[in-house]
Amino acid sequence: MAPSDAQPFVPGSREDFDRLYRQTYPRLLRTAYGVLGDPCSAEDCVQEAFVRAFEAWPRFRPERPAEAWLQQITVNVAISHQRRQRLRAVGEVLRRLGRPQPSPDPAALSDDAAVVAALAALPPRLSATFVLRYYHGYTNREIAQSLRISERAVGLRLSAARRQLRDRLGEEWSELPDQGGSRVDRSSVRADA
Amino acid sequence: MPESNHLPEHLRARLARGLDAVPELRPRPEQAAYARRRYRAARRPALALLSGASALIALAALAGLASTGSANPVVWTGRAISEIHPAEPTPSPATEPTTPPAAAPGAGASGQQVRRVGPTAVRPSPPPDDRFLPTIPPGFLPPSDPRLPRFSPRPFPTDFPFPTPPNTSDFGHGGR
Repeated sequence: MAPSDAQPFVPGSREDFDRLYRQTYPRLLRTAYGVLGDPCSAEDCVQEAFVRAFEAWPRFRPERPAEAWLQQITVNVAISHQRRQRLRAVGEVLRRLGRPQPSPDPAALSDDAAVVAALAALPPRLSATFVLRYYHGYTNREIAQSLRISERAVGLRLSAARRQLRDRLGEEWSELPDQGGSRVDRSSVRADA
Repeated sequence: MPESNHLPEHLRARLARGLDAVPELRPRPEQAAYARRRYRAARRPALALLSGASALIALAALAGLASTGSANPVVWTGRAISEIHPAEPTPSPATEPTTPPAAAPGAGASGQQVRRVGPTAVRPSPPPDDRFLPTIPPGFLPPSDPRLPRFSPRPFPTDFPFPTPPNTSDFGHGGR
């Protein structure tokens, strides 16, 4: 369990929200970074997510995990940010009337940076689900509750993300399993089928 | 670091190293964007005041419409003024000063007809409506001002608040 959930938060309390900010900011930053691939954009998205969360803080329900709630807001903000970025990129291409810049060659990047670049190239919903699952350690059920989707949808997103990462990063990532990464996940996926 | 969820260890490590490479500044709530956006909270009282004023204006409009039956704000104002300063009662015709006897025949104030009643006196004619009042037997006349319009007695509920209109067949025989 995330450390932010150990001590309950009081909705509407400014001190509790500041404590939540200090505890969850690093994890949310990595989620946004995994979706967007850019540290500056990730920081902007996390700040925007906390602004939205602060406005909704008086209506927060304490029985819900606070970090999961913030992860949902962060993912939504990151998806919107990436959509706007792509629209801006299309506008730039039209203005320059030239060929779009090619995506960076994964081979030219370090291994670690290549993973982040490949993640950022995925559809944001897939990359967000992948980061929540394999970096933060959420279960399929927790991801489903956080993102307000079904567990089956979580499993489908993870499968699609793994398939695309294999295509982008090469043979090394072919070791990724085709289906859910754990026995628990497989049963939860089958239960929803 | 959270426990692996059946992702091969070396791939999980690469993922973690990649995401941990983002520069992480120590989060300081006093420098966060939500702490600096105070104008959003300050807007709420202004919005509440604006909505309250709008509600009051709507209530006043409904009250004016209900009391006057008109959607014209000028009518509301006139009604309000008349309620505050009621008009002075108009003097009765009996107390009105008669026109000076020296007025030449045929000449009169605008809207008034002059007719000869006697060899020399000139009296203003009664209002035109009085000439068409129906003739009612004395037994049916209520003990009231004879100048008031008279209606033929008709059976109607006692709690009927408004008088029934006069019988149109009685008109046209005024002056008998």
